[in-house]
Amino acid sequence: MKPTLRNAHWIALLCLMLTAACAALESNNAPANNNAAPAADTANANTPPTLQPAPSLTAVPPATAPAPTATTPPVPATAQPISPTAAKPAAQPAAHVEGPKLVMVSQEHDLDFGKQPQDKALVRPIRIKNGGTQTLNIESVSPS
Amino acid sequence: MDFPKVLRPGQVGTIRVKVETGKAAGPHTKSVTIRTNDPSETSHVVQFKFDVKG
Repeated sequence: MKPTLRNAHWIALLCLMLTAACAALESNNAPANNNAAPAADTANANTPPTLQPAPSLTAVPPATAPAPTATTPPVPATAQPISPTAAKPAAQPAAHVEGPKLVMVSQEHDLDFGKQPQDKALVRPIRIKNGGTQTLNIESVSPS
Repeated sequence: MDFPKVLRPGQVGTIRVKVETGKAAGPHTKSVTIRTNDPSETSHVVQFKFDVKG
């Protein structure tokens, strides 16, 4: 066999050995890199990084807050201030009136004379009462 | 007119009123004013009605 052919064989064998050694080195280094930052794998790995789709931003409608009910506070009843001096009963008997009080005892029908003849002097009594708590002074009685 | 001058609390009095009918026939109204020391009503008007026959 010629020396040139022999050399070519030896060169090919050397190349094969070199490639095998490189492959072995890469396989040995791969498990060591896993313990490191995983992000480096995406850069160093032969496989292209997988691009994850960006999270879709969906506009979330604002939470529909319940419409504020126009609840008007119940109008409280007109509270009238109660004071010792202002508190008075609605129907107050005449006997409880402070001071003198003129009360007509005669009713309206008592003051109607009805049919009367001409030129006649009519005398009628008018009954009155003191409905107060003090003396009633009758100052005058005169025709108006 | 005859009337009491003083009435004590609760006392009832009588005022005697004299009314002249006159000659005019028909319905008439006569008024009498009573003045007292009642602070709420110092004067009270009393009306008399009568119908004069013609």
